Amino acid sequence: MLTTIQVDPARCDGCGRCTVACAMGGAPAGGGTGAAPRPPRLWIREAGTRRRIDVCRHCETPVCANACVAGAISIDESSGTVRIAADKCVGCYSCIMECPFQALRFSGGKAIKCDGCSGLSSPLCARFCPTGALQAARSGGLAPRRRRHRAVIRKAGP
Amino acid sequence: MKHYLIAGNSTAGLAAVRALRQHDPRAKITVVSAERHLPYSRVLLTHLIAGHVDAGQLALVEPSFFEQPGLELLAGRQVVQVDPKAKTVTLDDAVTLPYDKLLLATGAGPVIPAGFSTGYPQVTGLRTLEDAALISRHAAAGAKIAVVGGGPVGVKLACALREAGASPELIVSSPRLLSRVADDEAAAMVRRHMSQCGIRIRTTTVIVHLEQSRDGGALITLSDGTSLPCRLVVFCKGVRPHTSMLGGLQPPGAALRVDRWMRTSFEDIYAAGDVAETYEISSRSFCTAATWPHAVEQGRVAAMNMAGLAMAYRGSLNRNAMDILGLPFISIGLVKAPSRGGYDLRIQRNGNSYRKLVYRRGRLVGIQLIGDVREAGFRQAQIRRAAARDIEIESTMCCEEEKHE
Repeated sequence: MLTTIQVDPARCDGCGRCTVACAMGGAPAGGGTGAAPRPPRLWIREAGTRRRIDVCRHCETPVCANACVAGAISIDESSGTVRIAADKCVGCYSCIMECPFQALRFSGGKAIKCDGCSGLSSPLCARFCPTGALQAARSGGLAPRRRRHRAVIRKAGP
Repeated sequence: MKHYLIAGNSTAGLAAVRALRQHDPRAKITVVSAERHLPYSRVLLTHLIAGHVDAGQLALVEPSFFEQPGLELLAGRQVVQVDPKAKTVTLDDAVTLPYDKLLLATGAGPVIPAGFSTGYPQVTGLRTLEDAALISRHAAAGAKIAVVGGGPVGVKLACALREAGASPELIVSSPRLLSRVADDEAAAMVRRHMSQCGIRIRTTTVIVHLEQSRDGGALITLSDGTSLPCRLVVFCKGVRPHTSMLGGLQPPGAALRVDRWMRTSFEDIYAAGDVAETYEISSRSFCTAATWPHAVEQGRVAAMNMAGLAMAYRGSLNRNAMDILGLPFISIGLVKAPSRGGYDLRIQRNGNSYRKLVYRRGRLVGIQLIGDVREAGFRQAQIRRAAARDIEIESTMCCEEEKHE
């Protein structure tokens, strides 16, 4: 069973707790919280009259990984999350050209994006979201196609 | 048990092998590779020269990849002849192999103008590891290197050489850089940035004469009369598809046109990657879309159809992403609007950033971004959605016309 985060931008009031939680507690390799702040891996964006949350959907056939010329983006088999190996990234912007969810940004010449908080029991952004715009949920009931469109973060569960 | 033959072991060929393993795991797959190396990322060659990666990072597979059962790699061999009727290929060592489905993913080779193609050790293209090693060797010594061609490869190579400590000189025959992937203004911004970074750029210039100098370098004479001594001349003037194995069945130098199932006009022969000519949705015409994401997608789609799954290719969309010495650049779809046909432009400039959207009858067909490129992926999806709607409308119209008849 996969645990997921569902994104409902209509509920987002733009408080930004998710981005702070992501920046403060992101799980670097090895897991654990309390690491030094890092650039967040999700972004709230005002698009015209609407608000969007740019975060990785961890697609089953990720277009970013297809486009990566350095083999830096791959699916982590144990958790199902799409990962960037920072040491392999050459900063060519190909992934940014592909991702329709605008889920990637650049930091220090390398692409960054949500890593699914794989080291933690549930993704921090969802844990700290007060409005329910980001929610941890089971993905089992959703058809794969729908799952992709519903902006979900897959996570290995028990 | 089906026998799949894959000619070519680079991006498209390898994507096909992976997809075939997934969708027809018990089939026999033979891969014929002209290069002796295991597959490597050609796009990383400029990054190798720039020093961003080392040679080991270019590998696309683990050395054990081709040891899987049912998978055979014939490295250092070439398909020299295909007989579509007998469904066999002949290799350069005269061995004949039968196939059930053949994928031509043989790629393309650099075009070096006739006068300079043979007899000059100072002249090369940039396509293989050997080419990159030769260029790197000279770059490390801080040599002057002439890069001929102002397309994405020429621009990336000139930037890489600058990073490697060499003195690149970019020689471009057209009046500006990136003439196919950028409009005048974007090209001028790129040029300005590159010049500021110390790259000498000469436009509307061609090499008219090349002479070997006594120290092993080259002395080139340009069309404006300048003589330029350099260690190496690298031609980045586009590529020519490798289709010679089809002999008289295919006009020389022409890419293989494929339908949306990646089938060529020959039965049971598919094509993918730089050798294939696919439908491009922004120009609404067939062309070779010779970039990495296209090769991966085409290889995979071809493999799925070879395995009997009906998987339609969604169409190519010309696009390029580059980091030009710290200046991000992405262009997707149409970069210039024809004067007629209901085109609209939306342009924003702000210091070192540039954003241009091209609309055709209110629908997005192209975008160029310099500086802030974050929205590129979203815009690509928008262009594809609009094109799909157009195609849908056209096909409904066709159906209705048929009904009337």
